[in-house]
Amino acid sequence: MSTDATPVSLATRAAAAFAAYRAGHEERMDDLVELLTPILWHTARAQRADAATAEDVVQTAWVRLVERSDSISEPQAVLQWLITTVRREAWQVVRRADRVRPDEDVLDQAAPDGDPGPERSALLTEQQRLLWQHVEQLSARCREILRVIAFAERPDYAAVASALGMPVGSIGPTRGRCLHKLRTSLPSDLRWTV
Amino acid sequence: MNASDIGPLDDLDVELLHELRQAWSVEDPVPTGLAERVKFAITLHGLEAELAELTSASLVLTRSDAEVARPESITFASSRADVLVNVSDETATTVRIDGWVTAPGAVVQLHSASGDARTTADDTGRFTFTAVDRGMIRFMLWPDGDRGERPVVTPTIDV
Repeated sequence: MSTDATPVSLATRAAAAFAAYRAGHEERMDDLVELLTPILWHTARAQRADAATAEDVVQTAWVRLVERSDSISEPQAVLQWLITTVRREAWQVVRRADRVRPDEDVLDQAAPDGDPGPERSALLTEQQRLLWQHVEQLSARCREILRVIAFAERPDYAAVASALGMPVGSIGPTRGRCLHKLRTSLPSDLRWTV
Repeated sequence: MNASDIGPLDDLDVELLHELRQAWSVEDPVPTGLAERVKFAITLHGLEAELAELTSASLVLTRSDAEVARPESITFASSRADVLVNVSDETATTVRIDGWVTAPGAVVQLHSASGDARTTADDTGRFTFTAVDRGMIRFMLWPDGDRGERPVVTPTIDV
């Protein structure tokens, strides 16, 4: 939670584990799986994949990584490779399932993600609940980007945004359109402790 | 809208994203055991294992806690062997498993949270595991009894 601590790049930690795995330390794959499964789960779910589909897509991406680990030339790219793979596969499965065309008209419609239950929402702080309400007003595309970026660290934002198909530089160093929209929607008297 | 309208990423942006991470972690948590299932899938891939199919119609492959079935009798099919498993209560925390495989002499390995156990099916294909902790289990078997061959692996079941 604290922004004082220097954030350690997810991509860098992933690269270290992946490079060690490729150098013969097979057990380091477990570290990589522990490290990146949360962001990959949220990448799949942000594509509106149901829980079973999201699990399948995440597992499939990992197996593909093992199959093709030699084809990833730069270990630093493994985070982006996995996010791109999960997102593409989830998108295809969801599109096959409901035949929704992924044009901007559809993606920019604000629609609830469909899963949050009231019993879980009760576990959020007042501040988080308020923030959540504002996020739900954003487009599906913005919710996707913010959701996945939220599971990365600050040095990763640009690479993750790029893996999500955003123009380079859209989030980090700049705030980007989606964060900007969120910031301007928040009531000015909201007491955010920074 | 260009970059200068939007402004540089600042500490408040990062704080908002951290709050959102908390919120999404609560609203849609990563399923329990997903990372473990991923690791197992990677291991299976390394073994080139064949995944047996659950053939009992009333049961589903367990992907998340919500979909776990509690079977009493269950069958699996694969290209080299079919397996029938009966689960019976033993104590409050353990079960007994009586199985039958169409390949007599097959080596059968039981994976559970508390560890692995291995036995060899008799010449009628019967095998038994006792004092099996309740929870998620799966079987790995070598139909020819040779652990150098390609194994068959069942989906996970909850007992």
